[in-house]
Amino acid sequence: MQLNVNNVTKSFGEKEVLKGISFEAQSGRALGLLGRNGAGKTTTIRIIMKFFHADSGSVTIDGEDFKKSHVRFGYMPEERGLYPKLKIHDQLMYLAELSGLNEKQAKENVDILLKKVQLEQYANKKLKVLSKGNQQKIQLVATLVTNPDIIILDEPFSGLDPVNSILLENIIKEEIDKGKIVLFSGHQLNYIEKTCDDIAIINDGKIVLSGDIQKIKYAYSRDRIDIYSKEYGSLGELLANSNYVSEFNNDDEQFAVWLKDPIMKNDLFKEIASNNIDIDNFGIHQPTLNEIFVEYTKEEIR
Amino acid sequence: MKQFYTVFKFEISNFIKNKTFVAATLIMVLLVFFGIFGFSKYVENKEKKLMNTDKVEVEQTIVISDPGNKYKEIAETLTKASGGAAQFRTENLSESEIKKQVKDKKYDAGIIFKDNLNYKYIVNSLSITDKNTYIVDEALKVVAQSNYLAAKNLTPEEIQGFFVAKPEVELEVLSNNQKNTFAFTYLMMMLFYFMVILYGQMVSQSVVGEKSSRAMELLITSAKTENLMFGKVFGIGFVGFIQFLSIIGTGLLSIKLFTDNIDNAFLNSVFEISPKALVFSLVCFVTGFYIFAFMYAAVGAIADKIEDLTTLTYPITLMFIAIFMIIMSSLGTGKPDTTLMKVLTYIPFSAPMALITRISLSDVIPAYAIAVSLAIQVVSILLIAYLSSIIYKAGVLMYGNKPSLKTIVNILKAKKIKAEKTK
Repeated sequence: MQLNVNNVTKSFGEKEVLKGISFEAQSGRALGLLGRNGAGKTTTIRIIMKFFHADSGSVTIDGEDFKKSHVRFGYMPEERGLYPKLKIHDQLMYLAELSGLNEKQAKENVDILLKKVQLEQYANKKLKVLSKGNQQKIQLVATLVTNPDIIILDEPFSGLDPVNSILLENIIKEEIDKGKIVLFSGHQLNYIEKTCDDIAIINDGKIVLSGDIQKIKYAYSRDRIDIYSKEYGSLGELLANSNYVSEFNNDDEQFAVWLKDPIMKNDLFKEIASNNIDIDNFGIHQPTLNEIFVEYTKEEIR
Repeated sequence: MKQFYTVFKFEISNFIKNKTFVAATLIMVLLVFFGIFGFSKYVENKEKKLMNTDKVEVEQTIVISDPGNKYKEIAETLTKASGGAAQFRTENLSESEIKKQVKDKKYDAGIIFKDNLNYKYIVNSLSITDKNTYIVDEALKVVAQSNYLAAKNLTPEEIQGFFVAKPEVELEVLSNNQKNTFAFTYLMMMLFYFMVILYGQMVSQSVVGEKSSRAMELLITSAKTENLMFGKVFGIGFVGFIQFLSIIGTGLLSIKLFTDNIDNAFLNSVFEISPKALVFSLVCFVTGFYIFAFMYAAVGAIADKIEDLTTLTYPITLMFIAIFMIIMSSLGTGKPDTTLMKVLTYIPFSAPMALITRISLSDVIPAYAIAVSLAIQVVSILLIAYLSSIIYKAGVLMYGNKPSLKTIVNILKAKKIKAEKTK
């Protein structure tokens, strides 16, 4: 299954929120939908889920338009939404049946998922008696209980301790392995980096970067080299006079070096070696998603 | 349809599982049951006391200013004329002393005779049911008439014959007897009022509750907004009807069980209502509720939190109360067929209440008027429900802003395009 967002625009009154965004998400792969606050992520999600219509462009599955009733969505909103004063089991059953499952299927799903998140003992308790982290896990159950084809998770790890984060991560990976389309949205880039295969960065209503994370990282700043050397004094002198280096900075032993041309990395290495400067680490910089995100959205910084 | 039913069932189960709701219903049922039982016992005891004239309960004591000691007989006559409920006694008191004692509540009222026919009646607070001046007027009239006839040299027997003559009436009612239908109509109107105010507000509170808890974001992932709204409105309405029917049913059963021996026109008339009036009243009860309930649902979708609801529901509630009061005033005057009432029969928001009143009290409402009014109500429900679902769809995901008219028009256009594509 492939979800395609094709040149979608959307305005609310005078404000143009989406200015022609396009990206795709595949089953069996997770896509991270990133963007600064107000970039248009939530609007994009709502258009995908057919909460409202785009002004132009289309959202298709396997190249065809689809009806909301023909696709099951599982959505975990950023602002958690369940009934605080109702029993957990009752409201999960309600959500499952609302999506079209019969009572038996719904009960089965609820029981399995509650067990997965290790909260089966709270099934007959009201939601409000749970801690925030456990409520978060119930929220994930509510997202998955409908057995969705497309799962959209907005800040799924916020409020979770490291152990529960791993638990959630594993559950989501299971869904990905089942061939579901999974979209992440949020700002916890370390988790998105760990869990997603693809990303799409929205900035000011446009897609500024999209594709496979590894390929993006590989293509990103190939002219930057990270060097670690205890002889930072000598190394600093060499780099300042090197013909291969356009600029560098260091924090004692840790150096970030920008080459005039990525091809020159071997030349620089030879130059350092020929000067008998002892180095512990020399390699092309591996950017974090955070760095890439800031790089592509920093024009908006005021 | 399945989604609608799932929402409908969910809304009902929320109430059934709510201990406060169940307890409140049970308490009201018991209050009605024991209230009527208690009332029947009270009336029974009072009637027993009335039969034994020595033990009449005096409700009021009225003092007559009698410095000349000449009104004792009149005081006794007046006491008998009141059936013993009021005791008239004479005292050697001036007007100012009487006023002081009435103010101090030593006496309930005071009388100062100026001459055989003129008197001053002093009371601290005049009750709407005060009959004392009527009793005194009648007594003075009889005395004056007796004196007049005696002056004409008639014998006491001839004078008595004059007063004993009493006309007899044979009553034949061709259609509605308002004395019998008033109680039912009044009851229906009051129940309708509480149904709309209580349950209409519950609908809007439920919608805004889902919005403010963000449960709405999950619900609209799985369900159509129309099903969410209709299921909620019909579910809450159903619960309201059941609660009211259980209270009314208990009331009717209690009246039947405990008040059979009581000759009370109001109670007796509850069972005198015609099947036609009953059926149409129940239909209008339902249609009227849903006309307002869908509007309350739309308002709930516009609000961001429960605190906003008071202001937003105010126009609907105010309109409803204004219509209610106009119709109740026509009920009170016993004139259900004024021009105003006829017009109100065809306006969607007032048609249900106007029709309940006119069918029960009027003998001239033609069949076509009933049919047209009902048709208007049904069409209005469909139209209001449709518009409310548009507003609901636009409003449920909006926080901080209210859906503008442009947004609503856009949704309508999108629906039209979608419908055309489907064709």
